[in-house]
Amino acid sequence: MSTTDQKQQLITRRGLIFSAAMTLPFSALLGKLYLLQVVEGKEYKRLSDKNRISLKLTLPDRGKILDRDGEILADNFKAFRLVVVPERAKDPKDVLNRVGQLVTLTEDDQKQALRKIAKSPSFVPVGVKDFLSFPEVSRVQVNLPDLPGVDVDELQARKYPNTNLASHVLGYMGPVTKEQLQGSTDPLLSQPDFRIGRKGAELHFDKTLRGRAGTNHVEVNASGREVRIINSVDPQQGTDLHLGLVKSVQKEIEERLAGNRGAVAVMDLTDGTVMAMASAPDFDPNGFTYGLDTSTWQDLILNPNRPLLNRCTQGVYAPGSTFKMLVALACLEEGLITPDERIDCTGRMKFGNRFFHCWEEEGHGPTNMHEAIAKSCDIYFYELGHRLGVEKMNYYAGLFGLGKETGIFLPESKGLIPSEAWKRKTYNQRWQKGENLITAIGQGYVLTTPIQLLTMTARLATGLNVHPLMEKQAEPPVFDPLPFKPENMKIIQDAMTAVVTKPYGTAYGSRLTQTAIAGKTGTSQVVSRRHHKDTKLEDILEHERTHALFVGYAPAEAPRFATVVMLENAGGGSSAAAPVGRDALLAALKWMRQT
Amino acid sequence: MMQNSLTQNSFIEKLKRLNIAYIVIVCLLGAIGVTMLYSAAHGSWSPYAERHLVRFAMGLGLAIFIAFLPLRLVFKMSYLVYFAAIVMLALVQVMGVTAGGATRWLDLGIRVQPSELAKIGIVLAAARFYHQRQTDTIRSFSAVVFVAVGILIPALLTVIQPDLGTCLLLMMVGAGVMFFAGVPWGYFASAVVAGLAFIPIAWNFLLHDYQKGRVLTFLDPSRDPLGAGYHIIQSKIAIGSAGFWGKGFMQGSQSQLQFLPEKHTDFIFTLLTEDFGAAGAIVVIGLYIALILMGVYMAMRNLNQYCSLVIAGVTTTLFVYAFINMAMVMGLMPVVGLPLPFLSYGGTSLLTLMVSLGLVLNMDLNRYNHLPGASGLSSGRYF
Repeated sequence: MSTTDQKQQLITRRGLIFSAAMTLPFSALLGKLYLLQVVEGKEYKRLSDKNRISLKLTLPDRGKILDRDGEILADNFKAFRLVVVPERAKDPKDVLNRVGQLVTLTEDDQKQALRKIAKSPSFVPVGVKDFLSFPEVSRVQVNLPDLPGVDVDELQARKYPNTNLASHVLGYMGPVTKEQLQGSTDPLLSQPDFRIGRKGAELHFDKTLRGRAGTNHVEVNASGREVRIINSVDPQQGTDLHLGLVKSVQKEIEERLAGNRGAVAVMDLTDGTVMAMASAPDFDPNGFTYGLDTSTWQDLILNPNRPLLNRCTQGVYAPGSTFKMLVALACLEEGLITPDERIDCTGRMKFGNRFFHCWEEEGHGPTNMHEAIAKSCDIYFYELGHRLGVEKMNYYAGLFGLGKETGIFLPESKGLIPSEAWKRKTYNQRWQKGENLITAIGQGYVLTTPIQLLTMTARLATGLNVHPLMEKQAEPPVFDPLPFKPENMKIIQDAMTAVVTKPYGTAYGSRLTQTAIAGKTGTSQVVSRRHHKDTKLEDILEHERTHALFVGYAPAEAPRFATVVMLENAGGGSSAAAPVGRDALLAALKWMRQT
Repeated sequence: MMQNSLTQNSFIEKLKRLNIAYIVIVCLLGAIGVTMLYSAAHGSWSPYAERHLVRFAMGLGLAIFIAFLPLRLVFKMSYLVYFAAIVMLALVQVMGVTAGGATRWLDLGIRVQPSELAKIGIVLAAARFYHQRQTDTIRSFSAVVFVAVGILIPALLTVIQPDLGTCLLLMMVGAGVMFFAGVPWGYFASAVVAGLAFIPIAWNFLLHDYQKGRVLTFLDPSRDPLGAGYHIIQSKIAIGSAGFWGKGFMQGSQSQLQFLPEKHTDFIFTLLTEDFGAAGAIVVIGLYIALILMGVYMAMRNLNQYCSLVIAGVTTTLFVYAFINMAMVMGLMPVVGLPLPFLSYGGTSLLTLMVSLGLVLNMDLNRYNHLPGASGLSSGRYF
């Protein structure tokens, strides 16, 4: 017999054995089906058919969000909701009409409810109206016998007792999205009308805030009454979230910001926690939980001032003169200048075939580093930018956390610190020497977020590699020292102190009598056109006005708090931003004295 | 060999030999899948039903394309596919994409899952190996060990991802090909004994906690009524309460009330049984039995061992998939996460199935064509 024949015989034999053996597993399947349906079928029918909600989940309480001192920022409340179970309602339209006599129902509500009833299976309760008032609840309860299929459900809802306070940090709640549903095995998410964190802390800490569902094995009879609880497992409540925010400081800076477009943040330098972060305009997260009405939503989305944008972390702005400290420090570290060398400022300088101007048109005269920072002399820094070059500026800016995300849980923009390679890649052009000059005064391509500037200020104040942290810290984290010579840091810190405390400083008007503030103002241009310094702010188109910036810390001799202020199109840093920065630091100092 | 219409390779002649009944059964299963996915989305074409339909249609096109590839080309590629799968499985360990705690994917512009390729590679490589050996070689101890090692390498690379379900599938499919090739009974018996002896070792040292949990939960579902046991309890309630004719299309209360998790993927059989009762379940089981019996028949009538073994391997795959999935949702087996062939939603497994289907059709079209076999090799040599 040939090999081929042998092999075919083998296959035939084995195939027949395989087919015969298959009866076993498939009989097992059919046997199990018989067991489930016929032998145990009655029990399962009882568990399912008669008792449709056999395994009911009990919702855990969502964790609260608290500020550093335990003040409540986000809380829950129980509300009542009117639902209709279509199969028990017989004639839903008629039932809804009768409900309408007890509860205020708009025509829209009725239509929507009818549409939902038509779409969902007949035994699924359909929400008709959320947030019933107590009189409404009692009216419905009394009339329940005449309202077949109608039920009042308890509903847990999120409440933000301080309305708009810290809305960009807290975020808001909303319906579960399809992606969230697919990425999770938590049975809570598929509960009808379950709400989940959609932005900010609510989103980032959703899992720990949410907790775990409990179970209630309940028997419910055909008319929907619970017969008995077979067994129950308590839900695991959500864990509270303690943020580093301080409500009083947050409140004060928000009030100070009101009416502007801008951002203010304050950091506690002992542990890097952000104790206040405000972005204006803001929004009320309460409205999101159970759906905004269309016009409110349109207002939020179409508002040209973009209230949903967190300007602290997502807004990018030219840092202007607040960029100068790190340029000066870099030059000292690199040995490109001594603190005493004077550079003559005549109000403008020629470089190539272009003139570069100082904001002080008459010029500052021969200026050393201390004066250049205190008076914010542009000519001095043009020269430093020329000596330093963009690559070094990029390197030192990186050490101060500019041009990259700080790593907090909120959505962040990266900003931009240019480099030769970046320009070649982006514009396919060589880096121009003149661009070193404008980069050194924080203009040109440079873009930073306020939270980056706050990080920079914290590092300048402490000499440590501080990272911003949003959560309350049980133990202060250890930050590494930055690789700079202490004497160089001191020159910069002294100059920043002079900015606010010395009559020649640009923020002298915002000084405090008891505590010395150190800081730096910045005025960043939005359009390249320069306006004469005597031009009144009101005479400039709003969107051509400069952004006003201030970074600072206090007390100057023993830094405890740092702040950043950014006001869009608000004019000059010293006139508009510095007073806000002063008040932010003042609020933090006041809180410190109280605790 | 004489040329007659049975060995002619013109397109028309091949078309005449295409196993239409087999394709029709697969399409019936696909149609049932689309129907149930429509129900899973509460009566909506999106997101599952319409995509499943499109994928199914495209997959079927691919299967027909593969069916008409020259047999010798497929034969030649057999080892290549196998080794490509091994290399990619090894690469997964080095630079794989991790999701949900497991590293199973490679990012080659699109995400691919090499363990899927391994399912086909093992069948093709083992079939070609046996095709080129004498029968006495096949029975020899060293040949058995050689093939077993060839199966275990991708299986081990899969289990460390970790993906126990696919690993078991690979081993069972490999064993299926060996069985049809005529490896003596004693080896299978020893393998089963060795496997049983291995269980305590695996339990203590190798299984991940979630896998242990699944086994424990299988033995006592009430141990974890909210986690893993939740799936089994809800699935059993849904099936048990359905009755012979079911609760009606889209009226399954367990499924529609969201008590049933993963109803569009691994638990689609539960959804089917709840809506259409034991009647629906029996129809689907019947369709799988028909597919498997037709597969065995096609393997038997083919004149080439290579073709027979490829068909047998794919048939084993189908059997293992279908049986394990249905046994799992009825609480006969622990939850291992294998989809139900042609019904479950999911692009990757459907693609593999369609390629396998194409291979079966190809083998069957060429059932009378002669492939050079063992004659050229002396007996006893297999390296």
